Amino acid sequence: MKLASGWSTNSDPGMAAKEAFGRMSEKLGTHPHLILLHSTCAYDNTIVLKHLRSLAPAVPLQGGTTCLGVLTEEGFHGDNQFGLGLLGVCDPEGGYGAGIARQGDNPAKAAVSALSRALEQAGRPGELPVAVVITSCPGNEETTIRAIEGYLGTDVPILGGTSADNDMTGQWQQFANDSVVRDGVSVAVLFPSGNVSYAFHSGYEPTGHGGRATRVSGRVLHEIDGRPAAVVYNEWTDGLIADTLPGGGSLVPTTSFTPLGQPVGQVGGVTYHKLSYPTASLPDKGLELFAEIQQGSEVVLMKGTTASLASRAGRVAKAAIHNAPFSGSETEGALMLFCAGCMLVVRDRMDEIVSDLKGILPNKSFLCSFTLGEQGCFIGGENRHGNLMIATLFLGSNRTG
Amino acid sequence: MSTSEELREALLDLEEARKKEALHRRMAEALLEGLHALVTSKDPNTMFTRLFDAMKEPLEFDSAFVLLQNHDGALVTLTTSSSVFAHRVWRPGAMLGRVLGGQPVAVFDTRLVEEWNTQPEEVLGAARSALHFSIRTTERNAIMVCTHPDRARFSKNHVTLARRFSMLATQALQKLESDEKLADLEKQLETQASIAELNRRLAESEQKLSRAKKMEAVGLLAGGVAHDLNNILTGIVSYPDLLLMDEDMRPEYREAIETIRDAGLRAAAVVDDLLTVAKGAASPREPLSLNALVNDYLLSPEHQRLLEADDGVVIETELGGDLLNIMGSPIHITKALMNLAYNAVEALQGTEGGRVLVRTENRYVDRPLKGYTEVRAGEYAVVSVRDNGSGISPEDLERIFEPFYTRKRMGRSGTGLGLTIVWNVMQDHGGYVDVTTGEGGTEFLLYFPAIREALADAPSFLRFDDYRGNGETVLVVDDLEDQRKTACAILRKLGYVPHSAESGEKALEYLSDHSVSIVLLDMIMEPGMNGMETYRRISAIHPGQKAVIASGYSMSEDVVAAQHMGAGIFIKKPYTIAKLGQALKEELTK
Repeated sequence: MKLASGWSTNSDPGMAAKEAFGRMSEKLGTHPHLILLHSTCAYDNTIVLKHLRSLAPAVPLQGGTTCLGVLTEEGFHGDNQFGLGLLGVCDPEGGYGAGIARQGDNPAKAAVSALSRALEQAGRPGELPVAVVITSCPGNEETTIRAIEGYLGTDVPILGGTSADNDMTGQWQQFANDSVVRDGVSVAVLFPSGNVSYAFHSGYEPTGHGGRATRVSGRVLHEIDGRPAAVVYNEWTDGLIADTLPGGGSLVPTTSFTPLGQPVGQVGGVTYHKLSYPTASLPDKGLELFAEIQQGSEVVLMKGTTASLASRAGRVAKAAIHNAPFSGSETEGALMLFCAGCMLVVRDRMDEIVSDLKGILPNKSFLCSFTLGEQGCFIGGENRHGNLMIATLFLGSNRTG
Repeated sequence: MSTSEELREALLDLEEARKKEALHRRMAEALLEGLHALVTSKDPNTMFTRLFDAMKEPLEFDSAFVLLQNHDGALVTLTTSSSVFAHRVWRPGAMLGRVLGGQPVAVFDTRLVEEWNTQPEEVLGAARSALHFSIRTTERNAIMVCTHPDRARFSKNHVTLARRFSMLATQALQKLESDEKLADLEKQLETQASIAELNRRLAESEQKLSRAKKMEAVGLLAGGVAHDLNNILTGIVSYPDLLLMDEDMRPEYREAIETIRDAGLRAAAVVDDLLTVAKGAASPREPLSLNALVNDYLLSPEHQRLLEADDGVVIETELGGDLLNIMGSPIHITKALMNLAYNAVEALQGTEGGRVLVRTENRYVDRPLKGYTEVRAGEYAVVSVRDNGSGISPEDLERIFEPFYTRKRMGRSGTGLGLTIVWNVMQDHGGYVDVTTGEGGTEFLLYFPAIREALADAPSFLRFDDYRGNGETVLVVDDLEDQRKTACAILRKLGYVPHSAESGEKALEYLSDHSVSIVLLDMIMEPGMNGMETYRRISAIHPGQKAVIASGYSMSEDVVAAQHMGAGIFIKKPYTIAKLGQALKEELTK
């Protein structure tokens, strides 16, 4: 098994595909058996996929759009909103497949449909994959995870990212094989000849502020402890969103360092949290979130710093290797999904992040996409969707774990 | 990072460690229970029932069954915890093919899988999800299947556990096979032989088992120590060669140094023999002619030395015309032949008119040979070595293939492993050894399965004059300092310009802004990347980089992989000046 990345910032979609594929192939030394593609929405991605399919016919391809660029071991690749990255997996003894479906009014059915197609392409229908990678449009990530778990069982790690655009105007896309959609979910199934490791963390800690979500509808948190959520949040943050309270307004990236957390488990008496990013203050003083919070559940104000966010990618990578059923030298490469909101606040520290990751993955390839939500598997084994998170998937060549 | 974050991460690590510990504990308890079932069960059905019971809790299955592969490839039910799965026949497709290849497979929905869909509805109803893993004995392929009526019941943890349990299930199957053979034997003996004959055969079986265990122990020993010993011996073998090139050396020193070198070479021969015996040492196979191997051996310096030492013994050959080819490892077969010739000549020491006859012929075998309960019927190419000595006593005959068993002084090879090697070589080649002995002498017959394929081109050899280099640069990559020093000293003597690196990483650093004519690459280096990975990365910097691989181990998968990437000849440590010189010259002139 071998992994290699490739990238391009060429604004011509065909040339960008060729350049990135060329770089990837040179490192890989042979043809890939799976390609993961993350590109900005400035490209005509139909053309990108068409060129990649002609370069690697019949090779499963999966991915989606990323915010402003991608990160590889060679640095950040984004120039004037153009940037794309590939992660190729060469593993003749493994099995890989990709599938895609539009969500329409039944996102759960779409998830299962995309998953079934991926298993079919891998030539392993009915068999339990070692890991599932997803890329979906914003809005139904929790449903997607529940549907996949309903189909495969709850013990398969599901990792992925919500496809992003460059300016939150809804231009995001999802890809699989030769299809590009805006409102769908794409799935890759992995049956590697080696093994996988994963980690899912944030760079945030709980503060002393907390309450109960007393009124919720979908992803809108109306009330905390029976009071308007935006008002309570503004008090907890010492007036951070006071300007938006009268008539509502966008909270991106104002709230990047102060998301809401929902306790999802405990380790040794210490609680760990799933994060929800407040994206807008509503005229009725509710808060629009980018991930669901259950009515009746506890909500906690979390806090982060630029330093903790910048160092987090390296720490998550370290955690994944620490828990891996293979050694550091057997690690072949990684896919990372990094919150786009976090990326925007640490954008000037990208070189530091790349340097950290290269220290942990010496001479190995990785691809990091910047997403509007992250899906990953917590330490307790629960697959979750969260915001402001980092999800990682490592592949290694040892199969005995 | 704050203290609370550190605490949080430490707790996550602790939780993960606890989970792993719990998993290992469950597995260890179940393995112990399973082993107890193996040891104490009186009959196969009870044994498998108790084994299934032991595995049931950790693997969380509802039913389990074992499928055994027939000669036609079909899998049939051998034993089951549920009658639903009894007397079923399965045709392996892609999924079961992977399982037979050694990969455990968890199926979350059997109705989606081709092989399961050919089974009747009652089977599918009882097994909506399934976990499959292979059980392989030396004789048969089998699969154990754990099932559950609910969908998606097996996870990656079950797959991990299944890998561990496959060993236990394999032991159960082997015990079953042994029991079946014993039962067959008992049945035959009831009708054909007396109780005395039964006792004799049982004793013979016990002896064979004991021999097999000793072979296994030698194999383990060899695998464990050979690499280190060979590294140590490189200095003992190579430095004397360098010193002996000094023409002004005082004769008494010369004699002492020659003694050191010869002792080193004998020690290297012991390690070499150990490695030959070791199971798992990869040996490339190719179509061969036994006639050519016999001729090559008789012309070899080793054979000439043997003849010089035992003046008076006559060696004759009768090589069969139209002899069928075989598939084999020339090095190993030559070594077996050499040991038989040594033994024959040694048996004739002091005998007037001593004669050794080396003969080859084709034979068709369709009945068991002496010492084997069964043989595969078919065509065999046979090489035999016969002497007219005084024969081997019946007591010695029982034990001659055991490692280190000898009633004489250690054999000519000095290792006490001569006939053990013969026995192992024949096992590895799927052949048989037959021995006849009496007052008129002893004959060893080696039966190799014949093939109808043509031979590859014969390799060519370099002359000694061609060893010397011509100022070419060589990068020595080895993690052991004394190995690097020895290699560099030899290379200077051979006229090369050596550089050295203590690891693969250092070699890459050096080659990032230098180029060399050839790399002399150690295969096993710790810590850091091994030789194969080092070569792969060197190739990325200098495509087509010439390299010679040196290792204290035999050929390994890593060596083969490096050679596929473009690395050249493999030489085993300890190497002589001539061996290293030949290898470098051959690579550089390619």
